Amino acid sequence: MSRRRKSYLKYLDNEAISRITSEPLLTPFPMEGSVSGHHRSPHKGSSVEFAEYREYVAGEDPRRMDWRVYARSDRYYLKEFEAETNLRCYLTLDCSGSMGFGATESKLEYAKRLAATFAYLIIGQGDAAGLLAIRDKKSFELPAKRNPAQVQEILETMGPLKAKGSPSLVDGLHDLAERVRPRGMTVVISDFLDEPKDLIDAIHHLRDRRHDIVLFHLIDPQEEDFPFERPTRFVDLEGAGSLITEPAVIREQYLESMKIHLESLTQGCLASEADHRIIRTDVPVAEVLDKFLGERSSGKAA
Amino acid sequence: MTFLQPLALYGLPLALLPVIIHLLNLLRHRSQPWAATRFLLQARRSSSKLSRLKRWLTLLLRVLALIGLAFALSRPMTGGDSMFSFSSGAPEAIALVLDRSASMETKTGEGAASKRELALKALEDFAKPWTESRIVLVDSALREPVILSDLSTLADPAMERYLGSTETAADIPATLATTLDWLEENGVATAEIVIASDMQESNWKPEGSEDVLRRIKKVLSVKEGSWRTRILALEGEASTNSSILGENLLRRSEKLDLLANLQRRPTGDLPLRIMANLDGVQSEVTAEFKGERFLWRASVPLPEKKNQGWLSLSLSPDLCLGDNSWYFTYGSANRPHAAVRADLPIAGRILRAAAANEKGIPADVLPSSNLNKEDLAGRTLIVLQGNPRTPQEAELLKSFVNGGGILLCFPPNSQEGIVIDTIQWQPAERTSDSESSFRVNAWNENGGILANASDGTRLPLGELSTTTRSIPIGSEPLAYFSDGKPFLSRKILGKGAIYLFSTIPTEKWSGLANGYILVPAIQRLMEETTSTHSPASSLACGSSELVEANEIECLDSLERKKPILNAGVYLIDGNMVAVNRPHEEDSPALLPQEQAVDSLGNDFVSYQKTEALGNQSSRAEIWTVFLYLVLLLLLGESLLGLPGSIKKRKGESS
Repeated sequence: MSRRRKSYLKYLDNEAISRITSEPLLTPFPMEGSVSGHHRSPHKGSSVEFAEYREYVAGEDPRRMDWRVYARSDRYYLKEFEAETNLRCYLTLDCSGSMGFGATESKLEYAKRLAATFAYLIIGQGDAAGLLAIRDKKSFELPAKRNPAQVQEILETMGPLKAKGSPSLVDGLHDLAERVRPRGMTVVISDFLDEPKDLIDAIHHLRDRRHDIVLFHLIDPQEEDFPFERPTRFVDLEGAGSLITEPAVIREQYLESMKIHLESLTQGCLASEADHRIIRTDVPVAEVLDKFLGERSSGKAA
Repeated sequence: MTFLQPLALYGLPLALLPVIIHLLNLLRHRSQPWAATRFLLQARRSSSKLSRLKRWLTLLLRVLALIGLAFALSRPMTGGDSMFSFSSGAPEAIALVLDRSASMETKTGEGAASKRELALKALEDFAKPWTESRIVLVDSALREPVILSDLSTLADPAMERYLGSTETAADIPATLATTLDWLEENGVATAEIVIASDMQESNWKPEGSEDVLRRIKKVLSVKEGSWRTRILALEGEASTNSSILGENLLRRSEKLDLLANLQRRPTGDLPLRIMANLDGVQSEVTAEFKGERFLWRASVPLPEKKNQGWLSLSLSPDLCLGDNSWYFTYGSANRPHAAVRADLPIAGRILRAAAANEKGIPADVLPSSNLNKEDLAGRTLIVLQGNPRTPQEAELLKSFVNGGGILLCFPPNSQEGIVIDTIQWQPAERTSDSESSFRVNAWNENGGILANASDGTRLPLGELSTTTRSIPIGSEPLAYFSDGKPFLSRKILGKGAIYLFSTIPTEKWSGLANGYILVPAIQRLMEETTSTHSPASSLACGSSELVEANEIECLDSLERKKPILNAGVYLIDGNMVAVNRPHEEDSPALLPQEQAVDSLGNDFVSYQKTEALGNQSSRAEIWTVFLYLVLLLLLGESLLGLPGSIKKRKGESS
């Protein structure tokens, strides 16, 4: 393994991996996988999970007929079982300029750690993981695969990415919804600074394709606390110019605007059954994933 | 408002520090890369006017707090003339011009301090904060500048001579001029001059002191405000007061006939009790009268026949002690002989008879020429018909009047002779026909030599027939003919007076010869010359003659009184003299504020009434007020900043 490759392993959070490998990631929605797995499929299959009884139609495989029911009722019934398939997870990473902000660690670096660890866990439980990095109208994509080498591929694809350019997450999500046909899980890691209405439209689009949507909304502590006192020149990381202002004067209005933005997103996600999670980047990745997986397995999540 | 440490006011520009720091902060902003710029833009757009107002209000409060601190450090004082005076407020000298006239002993209420005491208290309060200033006192009675070592001296009994009560009149312009002279002689650059007076017009002498006032104005204007003058007007009358003002005392053989003006306020009808002290023997007499004013006539029997003595009359103490006493002296009952010189023999005979003494002996005759000093020695009344023959005679008669004598003149038969002083006779004027005459229709029936008799009978002046008259020029009319020309005139000259009739007691001139008018008039003049009220035996308290006296002994009291300050009966250089308050002290006329300020010059003179005296007295440091103000401003600044933060923190914790 080269030195360069070794360096991307830093995005794997060892604490998270050691803490939560035993906990499988489940999705409340039926998934369309290519092989057998842990997830509910929209199709009937041969698992041990009973689904329903159905009348036999000529031409169907007589081996699936329930002879006991026939013996009692003298009628042909098929006993169907749930199909269990694997999961296709698309990790969507926002690499716009605003993701480069962070007091100690940029939001993009945090997002990479979250995405890498998440991919490791997904592939580790036999599901497929793919990557979609959206940056300034350009996307870097890895199709979802379930072989262990996919983790390495994901690391090497997103590792060198830098935060840059104007926001284009909305377009990327719409594009994703159009291109990826089989149902899967779409995990979007971003700061979601686009217009809430546009974002919600994109989420609705994905939901229309029956994707399970998880939004990890990254917020830097400075963005949430706005701890500035002295007059400051704020330089926009997405190239929208700069703004000289007195933070003390506008602090309350800033926090109010941010609160409204977050509430809009939360309400939109609730309406479209998307899982919206606000993550402060000073919270360890292990804690975030532990909570997420815990809620998923207990059925609390959307 | 003045300041004890005005240097601290140079710190006022430091109040701009918050503004400067604010601007510097804006200039020295730091750059911060930022992601959520959309929220910043929204926040700036919706940043309410209240937030901006709060921000500027905070800045304003900080500026005001620093201004307040600078003011507190400069030790501001209340009581200045202007809103702000950026001088140190500590003058080099504080001069008090103290009116010590008798009227300053007035108290405005029971238990209140007299106006003089109020003035001293005001000076003490006024000068207290300025410990480094020299304090000089110039009182109206002595007009001697006295430097006070400190304010406690004001309470020193040894200062009674300069601060105590007097029965004098005040000459405020002269006293102020003395003060200004002292300040000039001592090279005082900055001074606060406080004139404490009850504003009695007679004390300010607006007429008669024009030269002095002009000089005062000039000096004050040259000083351009470095000598500031404050008039502390101690106005207000005593609500209850009785006063006595002696008019005359006549020595009869076995009694004294006295005449005095009594006044009281408020008007009442109870008898007024008067303590009489005759040569040291006290008795009480009662004056029964109703109303406010009364001309009181009384007789006091003389138990023993003395050639000389005194009588004092005192009212019960009231709110104005300065007008409660009057002193008389009396002499021998024998009147000195009058002397007559007349150009017309018939007039001479009539005048000698009219000027006869109480034993009926006609008046002496003066030589018709070469009048000399010996001829006038010992005389108090000279009756003269015609002009002096020579200038020497005119000068001799003038000096006789100046020395206190009375000269009664009748017109000359011809225009020959020399005039006395500036008096001239107009040519004789006859009525147009033999049946008409000049009629007298106006004279003073209540006083003077033509007053009604003691039983109220009028002198028959209305019936007097005058066919020839010669009007004197240069004298003050006392009685008038119907055409407005004077029948009787008077000219005050030195200590004496010249009385002038406009006609002669002869058949050709008038009916004066019948004696109904002439005899009482001349007899009253003779009484006046022998009464204690004559200049020789009665003096005004504080008059210049008293200053020149060598040997003084007080007769009416064991107290060590001085005639230049206190009324009383004194033996001065061997002569018994009654010293009383000057008549003008009983004048109620006050000098209006505008006139008082105008008389000294408007620019650097301020006027404070009695009501403002309290404020003047309450002159005090008020730096603590500014300190509290600073604390309040800082508290306000904190409150403007705090509530939002608290709310925010609460929001976070919930």
